[in-house]
Amino acid sequence: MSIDVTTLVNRAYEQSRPITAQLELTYKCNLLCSFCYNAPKPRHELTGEEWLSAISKLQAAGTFTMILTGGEPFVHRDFWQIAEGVRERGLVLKVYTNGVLLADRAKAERYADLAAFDTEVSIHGACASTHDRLTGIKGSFDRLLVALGHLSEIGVKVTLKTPITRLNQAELLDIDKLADRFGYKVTYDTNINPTDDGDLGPLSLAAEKEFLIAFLAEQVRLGRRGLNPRPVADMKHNCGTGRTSVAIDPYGDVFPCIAWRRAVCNILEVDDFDAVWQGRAGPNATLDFVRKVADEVPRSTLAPFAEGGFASFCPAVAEKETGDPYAFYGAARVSGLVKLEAYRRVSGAAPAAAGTERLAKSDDPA
Amino acid sequence: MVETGTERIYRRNRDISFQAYGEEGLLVIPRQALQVVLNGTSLRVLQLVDGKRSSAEIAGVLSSEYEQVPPLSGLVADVNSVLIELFDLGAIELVPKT
Repeated sequence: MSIDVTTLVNRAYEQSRPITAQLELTYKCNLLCSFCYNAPKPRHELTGEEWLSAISKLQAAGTFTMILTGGEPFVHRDFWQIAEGVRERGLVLKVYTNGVLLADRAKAERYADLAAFDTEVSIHGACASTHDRLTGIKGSFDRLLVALGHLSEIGVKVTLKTPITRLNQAELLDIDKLADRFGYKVTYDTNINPTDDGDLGPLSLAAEKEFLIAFLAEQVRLGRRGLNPRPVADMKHNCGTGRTSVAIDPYGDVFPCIAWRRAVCNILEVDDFDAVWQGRAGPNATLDFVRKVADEVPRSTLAPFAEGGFASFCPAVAEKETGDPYAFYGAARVSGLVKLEAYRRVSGAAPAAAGTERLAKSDDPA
Repeated sequence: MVETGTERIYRRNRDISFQAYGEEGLLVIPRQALQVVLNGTSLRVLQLVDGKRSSAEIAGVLSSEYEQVPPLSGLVADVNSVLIELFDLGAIELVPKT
C-alpha cells in the first residue's frame, strides 16, 4: 500500500520526532519591521561552530528539515558555514529571509548552490512607500526586487509571504501581479502576533475584519486558496508543538516550537538531545505541558464553537495574550469568524458540520 | 563490451536528502521541489547506492538481509527497476566509467 507524506508526518508525531527545526540564527536584522515578534536579549549568540554542534544533536534526534531564520539569517557572520553544514549533513534546508542581502548577485549565486528546498521571502507591499514604511528602512523594497530578479533568473524556488496589515491590505492584488513578474507565488498571513516577550503592540496593525472576509472569499473564488474547516471534534492534536517541531533561539535555548517560549533546555548544555526530547533524561515539564495542551485544545477549546474549525489557534499566543493556553483568545476567534463568514459567502451556506464539507483546494494550509 | 544493467554503478545526487520513517522513507529533491515517499525496498536501495556498488552487488546485500530470500534473478530485476526510477527522478546518477 502506498502512503503519503502526511502519513509519514503522523508517524513522526506518534514517535515524537522533532522532524522540523527552526533555528533563529541571530536577532540582528537589517530591517526594523514594526510588527516583528523577536525580543532580543543582551546574551551571547551562538557562533557557527556552536550552531553546527546543535544541528548535529538535532539530527541525532531525528530532525530532517532545518529552517534558518532570525532576525535576518544572512546577517549572521557564519551564515554560509551553517547553511553549508546543513547541506553537508544531508539535511533539507529552508531559509526565511527578507531577501535584501541577496541583491548582491554573487551572494544569490552562492545561495543557489546550496539547493535550498524552499526560500520564503517577505514582501510587505506592492510599492516602495508601503514596503519601506513597514520595514522601517528606505530602499529595502528596491533591493528586494533586485534580489528577486537574481533568484528568479538563477532558478531558485521562492515563496513570497505577506503578513496582511492595515497598511498593505489595499495592495494585495498588486503584490500578486508583482510576484507573477518573477514567476513566484504569494502566501498571505492573516495573523499578526504579539512579540515573544508578550508585547501586544503589533496587534494594532492587524487588517480590518470586513476586508479579510472579502479578501479570503475572493481568493477562494479565484482558486488561489482553499478554505476548509478543520475537523476539530475528531482531531488528536492541534499542532506539532513539542513533538514534530522544535525551535532554538540565538542563545541556544530550545523551545517546543517557534511560538512557545517555554524553554525545554539549552542545546549547548546537553550532549544527548534525543534523550531530553524522548524523556530518557528524565521528565521535562515544558514538553509534558505543551504536548498535553496540544492534544486537548481541539476538543476542549475549538470544537464547541462554529468558528472553531476555521480558527488559526496557537496555544502559545493564547498564553501570551490571556495567561491561559486554552483560552479562545481574540485574534484566534476573529480569524475563525472571518474564515467562517468567507466560507458562507462562497458556499452560500454554513458548513453542515465542522470538517465534513470541503471547499476548493484540499491542501489548504490555513 | 556493452555494459549491462547489473554492472552499472550509481551514486546519489549530492543535492538530495532522505530519511527513514519506520519502514518507509522520505526523499527530497530540492531542485525539483519534489518530495517522494519511498517504500522499504526503494529506501534500502537508495541507502546502498554509494558510487561503488553495482546493482548486482546491491541485490546481493539485500538478499543477505532478507529472512526469506527471493530468487536472486528476481531481486536483481527489482533492484534495477528501483534504480531506474530513482535515476528518472534525478535522485541518483551514473558513475562515469574511468
